[in-house]
Amino acid sequence: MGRSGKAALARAAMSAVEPLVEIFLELGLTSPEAESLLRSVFVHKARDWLAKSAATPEPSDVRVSLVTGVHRNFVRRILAEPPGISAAREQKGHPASRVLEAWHSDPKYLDSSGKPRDLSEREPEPSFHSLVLEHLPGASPGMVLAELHRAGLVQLLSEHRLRVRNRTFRMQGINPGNIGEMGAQARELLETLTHNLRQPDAPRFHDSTRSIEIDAVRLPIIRDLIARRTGTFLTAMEQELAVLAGSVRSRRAGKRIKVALTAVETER
Amino acid sequence: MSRTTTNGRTRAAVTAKAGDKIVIEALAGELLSVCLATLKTYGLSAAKLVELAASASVDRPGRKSAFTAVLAEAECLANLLNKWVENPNYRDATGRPAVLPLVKGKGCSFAALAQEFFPGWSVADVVGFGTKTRVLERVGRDKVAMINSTVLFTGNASLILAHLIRSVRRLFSTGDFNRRARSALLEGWPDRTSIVAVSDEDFSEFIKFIRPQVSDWAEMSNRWLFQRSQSTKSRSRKKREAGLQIFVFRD
Repeated sequence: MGRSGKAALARAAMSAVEPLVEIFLELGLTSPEAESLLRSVFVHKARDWLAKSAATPEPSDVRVSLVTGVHRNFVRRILAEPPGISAAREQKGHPASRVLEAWHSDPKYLDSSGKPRDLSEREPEPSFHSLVLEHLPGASPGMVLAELHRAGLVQLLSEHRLRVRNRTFRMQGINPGNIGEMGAQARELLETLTHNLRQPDAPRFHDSTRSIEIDAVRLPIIRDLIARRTGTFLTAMEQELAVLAGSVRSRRAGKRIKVALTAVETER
Repeated sequence: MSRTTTNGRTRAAVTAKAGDKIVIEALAGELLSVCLATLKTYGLSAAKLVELAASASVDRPGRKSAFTAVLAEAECLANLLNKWVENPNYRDATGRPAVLPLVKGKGCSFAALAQEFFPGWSVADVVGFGTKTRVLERVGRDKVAMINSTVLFTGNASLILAHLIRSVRRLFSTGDFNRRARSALLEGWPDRTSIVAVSDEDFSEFIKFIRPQVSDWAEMSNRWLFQRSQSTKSRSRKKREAGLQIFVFRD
């Protein structure tokens, strides 16, 4: 195919790819992550296609490499796992993650209790503007804010003040990743409850406060209190467990431990 | 968790078998030497300390407390922050302390808080004091936001010394109560210590790990006490200040 033919093909493919890119953007997938995903799918598909068309049940890595233009070493690595985003690409994550991490760790942006403080958008400093300039140089603070807000990670308060909601970049709302996470959490809770029914002599921890009736007007205060207190508790629990796990190294088969807390709200 | 250490510094004459009086005299001497050594680090000479000790040993009823005077302004600011944090009227829609207008209007204002806790001060002076102590920041021209709910004395020698005196008095008060408590385990007031030898690096990590916990415990205690003190049932009763003080130390 000539250069003009490829250009025409690229234009035609664009109309098919563009809606997909929109979905990727909606899901918070970066371009390197999407490229990694596309390459992985491309290589897997090429192997299947070769297997069908060339009547070779298992085409070699070199053959797949020739068809796809991907180096054979990468082909071998990609085919060793199911199609997906490569770990190396995924680890890099969203650039705005650096801003979230700094907001949670740079002493300038923490309050006296070591928690991230609400920031003014621009002035006085330390502000969101100074945070982005320091930790994501070259990026426009306005664009970063728009992106974090779109992902539901920054709450816009009155008077141009901002509150961070999460330490890691993850799109909020109903999306495949979050539905998967919801399923995993529900499974973990049910596993503990089922275990306790089956083995009452060796129960896993499961307890709750008694229900307390409160005036609906006080709900925001109560929600904020629960979020702050449990957040601190879970961080401490995780660190204490990590210290304990790190001090004992054993070759024996281990167990995975996780502590989760859930608040329940019901209408009176 | 509690661990009692013996470090060899205790005088040889003072043993468990020695009489109570001898033990207490030795410990009192040690307490005074700890205090004197600390005060020397604030620039006081040995001669001046002897003079101050002689003066302090004379009972003078009605003597004004220096530390109360030094801490008075910080105390007023702490009370102002307490109301801002704990009173639901001063919270925003998200449940956190609201950004407040400086001037009095229909709803809650910083001016009202300033007038209540700093009578005779201008609102601008209270804002200046709060900004200097890093508990609040200006939002535009006519509003203020709380950025810390704790008044910190870090870096100010006289405030730290005054705070130390108050802390020592509180510690003495707890000790005094506990020495009178008889045998019941839950009769004494809680006084716990955790102590382990660690490297500088681990100590820094420990600070990061424990700071939010310490803040939460103080906040939790404050909320409980504040809400109880505001209840109608408790309003008419005679009250004395009570609370919880937590600090990290390194020997």
